[in-house]
Amino acid sequence: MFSRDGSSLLLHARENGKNALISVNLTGGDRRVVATSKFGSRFSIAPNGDWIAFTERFQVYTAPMPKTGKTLDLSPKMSSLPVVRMTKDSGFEAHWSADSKTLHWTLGSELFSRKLSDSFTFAEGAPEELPEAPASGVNLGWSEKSDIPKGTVALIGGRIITMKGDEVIDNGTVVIKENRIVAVGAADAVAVPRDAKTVNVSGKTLLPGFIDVHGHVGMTGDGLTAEQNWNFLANLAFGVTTDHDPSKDTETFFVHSELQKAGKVVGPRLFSTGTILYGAVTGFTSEVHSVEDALSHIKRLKAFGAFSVKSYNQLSRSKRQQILKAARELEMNVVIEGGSTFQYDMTMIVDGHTGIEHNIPVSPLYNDVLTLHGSSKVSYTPTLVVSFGGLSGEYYWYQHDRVFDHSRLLAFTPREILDRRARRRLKVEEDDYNHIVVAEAAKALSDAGVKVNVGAHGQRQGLAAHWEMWMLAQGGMTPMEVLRAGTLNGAEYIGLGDDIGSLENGKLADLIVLEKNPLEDIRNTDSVELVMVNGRLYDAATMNQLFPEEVTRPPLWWEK
Amino acid sequence: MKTVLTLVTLAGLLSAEDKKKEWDVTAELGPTETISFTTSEGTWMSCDVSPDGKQIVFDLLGDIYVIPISGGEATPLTSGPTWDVHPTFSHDGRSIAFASDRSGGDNIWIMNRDGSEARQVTDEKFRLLNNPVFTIDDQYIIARKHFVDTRSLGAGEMWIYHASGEGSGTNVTDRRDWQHDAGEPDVSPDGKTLYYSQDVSPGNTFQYNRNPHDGIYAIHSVDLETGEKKKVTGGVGGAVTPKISPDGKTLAFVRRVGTETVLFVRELATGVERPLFDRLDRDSQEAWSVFGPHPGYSWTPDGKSIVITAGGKLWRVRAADGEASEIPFTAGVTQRLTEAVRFKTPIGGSTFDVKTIRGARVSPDGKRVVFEALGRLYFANSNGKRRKLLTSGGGGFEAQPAWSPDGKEIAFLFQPLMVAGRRHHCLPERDGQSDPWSSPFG
Repeated sequence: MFSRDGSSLLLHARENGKNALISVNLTGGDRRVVATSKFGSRFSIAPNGDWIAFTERFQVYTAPMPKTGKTLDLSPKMSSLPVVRMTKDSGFEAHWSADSKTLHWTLGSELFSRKLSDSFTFAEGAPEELPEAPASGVNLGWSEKSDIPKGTVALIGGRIITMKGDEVIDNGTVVIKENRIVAVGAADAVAVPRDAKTVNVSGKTLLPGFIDVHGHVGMTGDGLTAEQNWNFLANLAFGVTTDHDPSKDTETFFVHSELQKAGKVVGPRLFSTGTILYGAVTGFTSEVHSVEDALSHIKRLKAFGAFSVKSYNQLSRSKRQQILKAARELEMNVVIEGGSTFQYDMTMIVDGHTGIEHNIPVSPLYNDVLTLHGSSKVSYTPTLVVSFGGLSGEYYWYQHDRVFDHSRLLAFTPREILDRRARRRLKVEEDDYNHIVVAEAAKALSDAGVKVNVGAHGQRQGLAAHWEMWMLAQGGMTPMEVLRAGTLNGAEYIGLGDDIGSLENGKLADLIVLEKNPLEDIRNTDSVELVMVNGRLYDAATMNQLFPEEVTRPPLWWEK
Repeated sequence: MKTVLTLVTLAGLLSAEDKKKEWDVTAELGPTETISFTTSEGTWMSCDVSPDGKQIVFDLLGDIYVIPISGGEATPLTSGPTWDVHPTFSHDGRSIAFASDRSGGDNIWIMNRDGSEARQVTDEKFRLLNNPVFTIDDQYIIARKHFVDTRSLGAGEMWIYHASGEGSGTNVTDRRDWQHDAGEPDVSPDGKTLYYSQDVSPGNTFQYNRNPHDGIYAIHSVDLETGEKKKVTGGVGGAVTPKISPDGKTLAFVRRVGTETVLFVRELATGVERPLFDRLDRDSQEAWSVFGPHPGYSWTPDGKSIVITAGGKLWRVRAADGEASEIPFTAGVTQRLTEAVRFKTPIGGSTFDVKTIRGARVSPDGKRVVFEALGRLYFANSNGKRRKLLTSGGGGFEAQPAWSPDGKEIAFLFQPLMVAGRRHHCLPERDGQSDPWSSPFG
């Protein structure tokens, strides 16, 4: 941002461990620190130079700005100057009107404006009693058409693992019209519409697309959004058709989520909690002292389209409970960081969180915990790839497999990333891998009635979801149990079980075709030949679209 | 003087008012169901033997129980949705201190031996406490206090509080940094030495996938008269959960040996260490373990045995030779479960709501707003009406619009076929002015 007279630039920087607004002249010299803040950021000086706005912990604050020739240190609790919280719930993108009399910001799709005269008793034109912060703004959003392909396609002759119970149809047909499944059954019982494109998948195995309920998928943040994202393609190429990311910058994630829905970016279905409701001491902490605080935080995430929130290391049980209570009121799910703390994990179960993310750090689990957790409806996402309490599970796969040489991975992952992580790796005694006993505990919980999900934690994009499934199998789950963890359990966990997670009439057309049968060997889950998301069919090896039209994928940046 | 008195009274009133608003962790959060079952196994139970040697107190699923030293049916001393752990007897045998979240977060409480008259010792809202132990005169509690900074992982300090609950305590040990833990305090029978476990792994940040065979934790001591600190034991396999024998001569602790977690004893005079019992559940040295890398355990008052959990059971382990016998118990568990929060969301419809508006900027004249949605820049009247695309498009996404001060031009970011992966590929090749495409302001 230019200074008022155009002679200098105002830039965001760091100064002595604090966020800072600095000014430099147009050749980069004459550096001056205008303002600092321990946790505040996004400083914005009014055009007349008399006011400054900043954002801290999702709230926008404004203070008058005296000229002192020194650095102004800003905080919502500062006593040096009057400071007003402008936002009721939260605010993004705070900026000034040209006359320096009004501050604007957005929250989700709403544009808010608040006059200084409605904010400071001493501001020009202020009424005797100041109004409250605005609760709503101008809606800039709209209803957009979803990307739904036209046409009908039938996949004929495959072994269909529907995930409806333990049902396996040996020689079956799935018919998809637009983005929904319209028929599933034995090949001789399903009439293929005459206008359908047919794909012969005899000898292959069909499954619902995999659902990664704890997938931190790589995305471009501030600034320009990538039109093609190898992380998304890698997930699809490994059959992951739905991602739920329980920790990602809110704006970043939902930009991508909406682009995927609109068909402007190819990727799995993208859902997220947005930014975590963090309990540590940072600029993005979600301070919770009451249900009202929690409601405000959850509204912020709901405003961007989240249907779940991530409760994250709010150490006091009262705060975790306030989030739960507020979420129930706003009809939002609460997934919670287990945080490697056994006692807290138990209270999370008792208090009725939607599910615990990351493994319960203690293994084995005995009758007391198995009965308690099994009696609840609290799900469990052990993320064995990064299991607590011992070496992370992913080390096992880097040790045993030539991950750097995996052709499907290399097709959708920059080679440098694989080489760096995978070529030189640890050699560990088998009995020193703790994730196996963690997986055994997950199996015991599953047997006790707990729904266990697959969460790959954004480790090796696409492949790690399979590692997670294979590790659940190492813990003793049957292939069918593992596949359910990777599909229907996850769908139901994030509240999408009516639309995805199984191959049934009326469900969305998210499915994969495997070359080899995973019921015979769970390691066959990654033999993905075809992947369909929302009715669009892709060749998993190339990610070229096969239906409704044939579309060659544009080259990835390293292919040019 | 009068003024001061008035102020005191006012403060008293305010705090009473505040207390009324305090959150009740036992209040219902939604539909509930109460489950009851009997178990003869427990996970990660901390236990302590009474000074008269007659009873064992232990925690199980957030309630505290007592059984005869020989085992049997457990009597609950605490119950309900509050989470009560780490019971420890006072030296006079009359009281039990424990950690509980009944005030909202984990604090130290003391109750009578029969479970009656629980009273709060510490009153922390953020820097929470666990692992209490009485000083030898029963006048104070030493407990682990949890410190968190910018990362949710934390560090521990040993703090001392007057058992009356008066005062806000003071620290006995200083944390290394913000991310290396310490905890599990125990006081020597002469009252002179405090033992505790300390994460001694290198660096000043918490690291995952540390090597327990290198040793992650060590047991340190602090002389409570001089403040002198010493490392007592550690090294390969580490050392956690110090418990000093009643005669003060032998220190019991827990160490990893290969893949086993083993109870050890160390003769303090000679430094000789020997393994006693190798069937413990895997310790949590490799994890981040706020409540301690191993459950608490106890010497019997005669110093001849140690009572400790392993394999979901309680065991009496003979200090002379490690011979172990199970102390069988059954405990009736009653817990109120709140129904899990679970809402369904329909997806896959023909339309969806565009909710993510980024980079919105109101025009200098206040009449219009430009913003990013679905990868493109739109402008609309500032009442949200008459939304239009800003440009005719160049095949790529656009972002971060900025008005010129005269409101006639808009600068923004644009790069055809933007790709993810490498930083320099994320940078725009140029800042696009609103040409070369048609713009309403051009």
